[in-house]
Amino acid sequence: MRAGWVALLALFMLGAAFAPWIATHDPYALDAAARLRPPSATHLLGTDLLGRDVFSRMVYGSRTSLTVAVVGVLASATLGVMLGAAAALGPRWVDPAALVLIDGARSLPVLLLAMAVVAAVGAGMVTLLCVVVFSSTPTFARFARTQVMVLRSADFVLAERLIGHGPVIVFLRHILPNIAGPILVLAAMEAPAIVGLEAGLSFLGLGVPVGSPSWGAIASEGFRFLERAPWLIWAGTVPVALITLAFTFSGEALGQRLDPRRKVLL
Amino acid sequence: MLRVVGLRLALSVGIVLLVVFVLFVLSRMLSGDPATMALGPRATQEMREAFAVEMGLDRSVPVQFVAYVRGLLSGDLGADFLSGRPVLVMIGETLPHTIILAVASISWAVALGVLVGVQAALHPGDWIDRVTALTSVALIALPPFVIGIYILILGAIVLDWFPASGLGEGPVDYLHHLVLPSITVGSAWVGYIARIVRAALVEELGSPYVRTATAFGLSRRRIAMRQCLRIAILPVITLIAGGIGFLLSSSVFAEVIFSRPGMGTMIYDAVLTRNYAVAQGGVLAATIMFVALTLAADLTISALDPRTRLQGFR
Repeated sequence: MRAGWVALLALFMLGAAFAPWIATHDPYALDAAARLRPPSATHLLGTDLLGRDVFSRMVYGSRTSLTVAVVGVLASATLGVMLGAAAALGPRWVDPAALVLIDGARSLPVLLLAMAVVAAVGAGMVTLLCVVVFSSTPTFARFARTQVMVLRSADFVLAERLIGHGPVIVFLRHILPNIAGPILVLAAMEAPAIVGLEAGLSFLGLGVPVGSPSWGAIASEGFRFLERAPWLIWAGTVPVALITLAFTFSGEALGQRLDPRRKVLL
Repeated sequence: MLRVVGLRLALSVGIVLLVVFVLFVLSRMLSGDPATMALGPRATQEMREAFAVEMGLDRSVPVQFVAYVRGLLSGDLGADFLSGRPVLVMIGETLPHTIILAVASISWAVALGVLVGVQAALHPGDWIDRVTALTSVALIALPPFVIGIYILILGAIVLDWFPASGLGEGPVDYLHHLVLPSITVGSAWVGYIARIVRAALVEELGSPYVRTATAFGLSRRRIAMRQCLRIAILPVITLIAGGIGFLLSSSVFAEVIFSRPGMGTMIYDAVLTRNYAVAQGGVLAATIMFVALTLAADLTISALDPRTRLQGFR
């Protein structure tokens, strides 16, 4: 069961990496003569309103989704860990300031703010990534802060400090390797949330730029032609559902591997 | 307690001010010159200048910000540039539908979640226990719009039991229209609540007073429902308090998918038509509501359980 989810996740990543070889058509190629065609031998999942091949767009959609997820997780984890470590190891005044910042950002309705931002500056990849990083960084920051706080009074850390190493060196050489595992598990748990946010915003037409292949955008068109072109809705929602579940259950498995005391969920 | 309330209140006011500031900055970043947008491209230079003076655009940005906040405090959220209606009136019309949706969703989710949680706690390892473990994780991982679409397809097309869109006329029809959206919003919570109730109950069922009550001949189910649930309900309130943002965002998707008038659809339509005043006013109103709800929930928990009271900002 668990191995299956991990394999599925690997499959999605391979699909994204080898998208040009898997796709049967150019995902941007328009064909006005073949609009909203049902699935056939030439178009495995039919065509959309502009006659583009849905299967190819779905395959390329994994690139959009995983790019946003990977870039979003890396950026938020880096920023969050830096902020959390600064709060735990920095001068005394940093901690309450960082906490106000973290809790403030966490207590905002992200989706609604994202809508206001898109209304003002328009949809696009940069806007999307900013929204993702803004929504995920506080989670990483709070988690990293707690983790570093546990370790900062450990004997080996105190010994390093006594030798005369500064907080930055001690953090990079001794604390970071120790918290990397739990951070990785958190990243696997945060990735599906980011995938869902991207797909959701694109479904509302507020995510990726118009025309880019995205699962959310395919689902959005499918929703408009629910009765006429049902293949669109499946091509847009099934991959999102599968990849979010695959990320979540793989993260759960990873967490159990790293910490056997963790409660078994499945 | 007073100190706790004070600190918490200060943080909430700070958050709202921050959002007001962000929205103000965003309104200055709108693409295009406001005078051209309002007066059209054929306006003369004098008309533009008169418009700028009228709207306060000739003053410095900090002065404009103060004027904007003044307007907000007197309830002036601007107007819809298409219909000319005040945003505050539009919020007054749509907000009740969103609140009804949120309350209905969370109510059925708590009711079912608690029942399932009690069942799972009384029979650990049972099929119901394992199914809730799986569905709680799965339904939270799935994005709300995917859940909404599948529920619409199942409930309104395949089974054709419930209407797919609108509000309905009259109370019975209104409830009939409420079913699918509230299933969409509530479904992610059921498993979560069940898991939390189960965890708290299992702990509670091992305590001495339960043993005593069992010795007096009360059934374990009765003890669980009558005595233990009072304690097990606390983490559920904490969970809901922490999830108000999630509740709000899944309501947006439910409203859009089921074409249900509400705050979510109002803001969404405004964003699509680039009706910035409506989007801005809606987001601000939603934020204030959200912050106030979180504050109320936090204070309720502090009042019910002194162990969770804030120490400073911790």
